[in-house]
Amino acid sequence: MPRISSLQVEIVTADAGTESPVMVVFNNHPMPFPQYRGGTAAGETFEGRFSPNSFAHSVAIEGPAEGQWAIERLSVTYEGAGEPWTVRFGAVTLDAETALDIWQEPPLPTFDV
Amino acid sequence: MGIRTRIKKLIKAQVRNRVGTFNVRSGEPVAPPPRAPEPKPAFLDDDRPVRRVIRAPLIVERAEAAPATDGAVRIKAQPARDGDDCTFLVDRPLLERGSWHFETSEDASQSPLPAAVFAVEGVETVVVDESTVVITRVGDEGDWRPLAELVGAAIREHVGKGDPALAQEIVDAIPDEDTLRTAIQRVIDEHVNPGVAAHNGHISLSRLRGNSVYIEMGGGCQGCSAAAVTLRQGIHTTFRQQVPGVGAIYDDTDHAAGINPYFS
Repeated sequence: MPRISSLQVEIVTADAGTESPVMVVFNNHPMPFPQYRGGTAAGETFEGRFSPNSFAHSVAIEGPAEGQWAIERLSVTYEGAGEPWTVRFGAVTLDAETALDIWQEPPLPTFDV
Repeated sequence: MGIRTRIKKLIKAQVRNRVGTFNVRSGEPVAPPPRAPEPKPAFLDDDRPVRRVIRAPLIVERAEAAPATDGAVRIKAQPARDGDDCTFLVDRPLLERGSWHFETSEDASQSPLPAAVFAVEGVETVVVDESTVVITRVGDEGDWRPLAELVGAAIREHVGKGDPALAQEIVDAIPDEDTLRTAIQRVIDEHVNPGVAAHNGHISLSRLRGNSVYIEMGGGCQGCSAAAVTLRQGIHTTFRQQVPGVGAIYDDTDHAAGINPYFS
């Protein structure tokens, strides 16, 4: 359960966009991205940044309040005490009843022996 | 500036630095004017519906190392996050099939690869599985690198000799998956789950790969900080005592899944 200083998401929307604000759920606390650019209409790319400065046990993106949101791909870059790490996800569709789990522990360090 | 003015300024500064509102002359606290309650932001509405947490396909991009042109054996060491074990990833298969766990050096006396690894001082247990070797060590603190370099050299030397990794009698004792599945499920039902039920947890058999066992933890076990200890000291021990021929045991659980792992 590492400490996360910031996380940055890049979400590419497929053919079904949404007008709902993008909500990140950090440790069960939903909130809009304080810093973002782009959009979530069909074909658009949304980039959001959030600096929790806290220990993560769960991170998710909420589905839209109404309708469906088809995501083509999504990447998350986490920054903490060590090297930043990026997690990439493929296509998924969210709605008012779902949230997308985007949390991944940092990769284990390896060394040649 | 006169002395009285300076004292007044000093009192004002002290009063300013205190939390709350104070009378400048007396320094006594003054009740603040009533404030209208701030409206709760919509995104903190406690009445929000509980959502089902789903996962998107994880895209893993592996940076494959170019194969060594000189035939050199490439080995990477990967200590576990909690430091309890270290996995050695070898760039070629070590076994034709199955996996095996060696609790002591005596168990490995007829098996060349684990015997070579046990010969390194500080190695406690050894698991050999396909192209990986997993060890635990005597003592559980400190940098893995010195021990890992010695173990890596032992593995490299063994591979260079071309000897089989395991004794033939061990290879012959590897059980088939159907037999193993039945036996593992019985142990989970009769021994493991009654134990973890006290913590509202449950264990299930996720899958088998040869005689390698993958389990999933649910309920109070998923996301629990003691999950690794439960796996190593409880489940490993019980499986190995009750089911002969169990090889490597892995945890398939996504301990971070869900909005609220641990009693989710």
